[in-house]
Amino acid sequence: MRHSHPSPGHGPSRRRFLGLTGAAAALVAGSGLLSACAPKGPRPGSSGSAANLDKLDALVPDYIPFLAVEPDIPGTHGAPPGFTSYPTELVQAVDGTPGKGGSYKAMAPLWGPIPPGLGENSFYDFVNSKLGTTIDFQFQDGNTIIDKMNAVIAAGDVVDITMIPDWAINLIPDFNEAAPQLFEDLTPYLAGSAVEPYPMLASLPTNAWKWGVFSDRLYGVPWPTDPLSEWIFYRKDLFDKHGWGLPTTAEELFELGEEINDPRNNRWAFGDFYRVARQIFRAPREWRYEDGKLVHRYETPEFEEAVAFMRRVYDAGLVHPDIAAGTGANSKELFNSGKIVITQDGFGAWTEAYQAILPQNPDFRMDLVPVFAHDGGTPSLHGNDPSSQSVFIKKGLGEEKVTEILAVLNYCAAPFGTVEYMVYRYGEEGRHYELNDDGAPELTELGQKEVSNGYLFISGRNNAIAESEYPDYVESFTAWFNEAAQYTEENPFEGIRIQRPSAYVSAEQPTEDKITDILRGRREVSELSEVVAQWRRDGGDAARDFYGDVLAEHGRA
Amino acid sequence: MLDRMLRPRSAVRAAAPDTAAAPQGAARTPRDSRKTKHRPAAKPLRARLRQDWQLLLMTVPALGLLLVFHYIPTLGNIIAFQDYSPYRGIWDSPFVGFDNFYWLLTDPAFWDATLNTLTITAFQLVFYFPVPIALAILLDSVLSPRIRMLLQTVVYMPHFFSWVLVITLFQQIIGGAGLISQMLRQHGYEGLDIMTNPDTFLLLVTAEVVWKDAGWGMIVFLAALAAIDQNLYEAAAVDGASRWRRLWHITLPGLRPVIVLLLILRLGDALNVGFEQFFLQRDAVGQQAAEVLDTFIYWQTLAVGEWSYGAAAGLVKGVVGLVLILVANKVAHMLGENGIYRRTS
Repeated sequence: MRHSHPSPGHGPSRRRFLGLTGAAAALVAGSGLLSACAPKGPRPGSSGSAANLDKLDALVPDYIPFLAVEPDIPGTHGAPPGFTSYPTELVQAVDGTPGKGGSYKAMAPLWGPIPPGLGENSFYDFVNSKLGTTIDFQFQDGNTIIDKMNAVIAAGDVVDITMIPDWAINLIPDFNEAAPQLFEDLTPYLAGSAVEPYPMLASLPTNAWKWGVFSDRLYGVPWPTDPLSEWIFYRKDLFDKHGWGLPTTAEELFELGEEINDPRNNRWAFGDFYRVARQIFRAPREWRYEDGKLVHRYETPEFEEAVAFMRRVYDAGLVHPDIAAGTGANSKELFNSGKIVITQDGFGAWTEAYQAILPQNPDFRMDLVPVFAHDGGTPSLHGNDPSSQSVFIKKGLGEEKVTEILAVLNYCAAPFGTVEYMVYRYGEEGRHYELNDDGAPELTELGQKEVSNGYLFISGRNNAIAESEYPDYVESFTAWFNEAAQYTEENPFEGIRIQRPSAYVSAEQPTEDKITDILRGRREVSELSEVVAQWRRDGGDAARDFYGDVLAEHGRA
Repeated sequence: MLDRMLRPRSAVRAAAPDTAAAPQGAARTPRDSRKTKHRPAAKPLRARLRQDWQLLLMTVPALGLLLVFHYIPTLGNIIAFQDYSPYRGIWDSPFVGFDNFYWLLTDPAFWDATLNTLTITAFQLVFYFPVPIALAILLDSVLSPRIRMLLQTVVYMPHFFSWVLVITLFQQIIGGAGLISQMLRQHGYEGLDIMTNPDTFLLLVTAEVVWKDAGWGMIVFLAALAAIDQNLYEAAAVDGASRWRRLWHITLPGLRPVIVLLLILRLGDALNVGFEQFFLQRDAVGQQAAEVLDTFIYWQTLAVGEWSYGAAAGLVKGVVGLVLILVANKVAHMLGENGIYRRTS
């Protein structure tokens, strides 16, 4: 069923539409009454806010570097360092047990099956005994975490320790108002030299800590990120087998897709890679500042080229039909089983896939396509925010409990190369994991069942590419990252935490829906300018003013 | 919402025969007298309380649930008239009158979603609603009890599958890389494009509903069929009525009150076509085809935290549903049916 969409000319079409449906409207308010009670102001909603960078320096902890082991492959341009083997001598980073016997509930998202709960899980028992405190995890399905968190925050029903992914925080309206009501102000505990009792937390980068500031106070413990977060992966084993070459331009990528595509034998070239296509065509991540003006990605010619290219890819039938039919939920399975050969994913997918697939298929190999731009010129990649999640402590627990929780978070912030890292990441040696011939940990059967990312998620730590248990992983990934990181695009709002105006947030979904329509062939590429014009009216232009003010306040415009 | 409000009442009624343990007189209350034309003079309240207190006691848990989970939360609808922020609370959020309703009713996306919802309801009323009736009549004509049980189980079962599973199954069978598509491709034909075609989406969702829920919907009709007096069939057969005549003059009239009842309830639910089914297939066919009121409310309000706007949309839905039920009930009365209720004074 298809019906004509009201034309984007807002005023007249809306009136005509109301005329048509006046009968229905009359049921509720009466169409005459409706126009009589028109509100005077604009539709209410949060107007957005931005952290003031100048004020932040006094709020964040002093930076005290900590390095457990020297990396074999240092990172350049902010890329994470690589470790090609596990150290034989682990460093003890935390003296004694951090906890004082307290018991706390922690809420975190989890992607994947929920492990057995406290009381039936020897991994929890072991780590909790090392921590000297009992952490009871309440995991939420990571795929629907925003629904859950919106309700939890609105109801004010938070547990002792709450981890919220950063993208979810951005979608929770008025989070700046919520944080001071629900969470403990950590400024007195951590700002400046107050952080000294927690050396692991002090070793987290300052710009990541600035991301934990809301309403001019420090609330969140950050998770420092890599400068980039996703790109296209390819099935290296299949490429080697068939002798396919790697692309260096958009055109080559398209031709490669046509060569790989073989639906008769259940093999499609691509999963979705719309976000990466935007980078291939050098569209900005969100805003670009040029000639004294802010331009949103929707408004750039690069974005339109990227959309047109993706449309060609969909039209040529190079994308797996399940991906075209859904939200991409099973794209990992399709990639892992070779039904898709090239797909976009976050870097974490690499080790996830190796952990799951290598035991059954030892020949399975994946790798990142070397970065390129559509015309073979200099690439431009979307940078990451400095932190990708925040961990909050419930307000009003009292100083004793807050310091105990902070000590636990400090323990869980110990980086690669420490005793603590092995404990909270892998559990007990000989029980949850065994060291293989190269000294790398491998989960035992019990470990596979019980070990989860819970403790990993209640704190952040300095990044490392260190999973040397997987073949070529450390070498390939560090080489790719050291090359790619230099092409990170300049972000006019670098380092500024912004709560987006709600009209801007609301306008995004309908716009993305229409762009999806274009990609999948339900609208023409030529309609994009109309779609963007509608977006401007629905909040895009207002957001430009808001973002412009933020730039001006920081003296960047 | 209304059907939920009504359910406990019928539950009370259904509970009455079970109270055989209670004094016989208790069951023979004015309720039975409704059937006789002349109501006896009502007893004084105290006498009725003394007589029925066990029955009333039994309704307390249901009333409690109703109060806690329906009536008290209903008061929360007040936020539809506010610019509500959970951090300020209901007391401190400013009142904005009918502003939210104004924004809602002037939002073209809202009307798109309403139009989609009504189209789907109307289509399913014609192409889904009769299916369980037909199934029930067919199944009722199967004589072997063992085969009938087997068939019943087979057609009930999909009701217990979640929508995620149902849509995955459809995708695996008739999807672009599904069983049938791959078979076609191996024989040199093109694959199917059913799951991603917005023009046939209406047929697809209806097919999914039929597959999933037609068997479940059949149960009520099977019960109604069992209640039809078998003597009528015998008498008609003796008089030489054919199979079709018996269906037309005995079976369908016997089912009519149930059909009308369910039709009215369905109308009250006209703005409710389900959330998951459409949410899951939204990207496949696009928001223009798959946006229904429930998904509209999700995207426009809950996903971006505009609680007041969502409450306003929910309230509009509820009020329209109530009006539809009342109107349909009135029409049923005019046609001489009992409908879902009838004033007894």
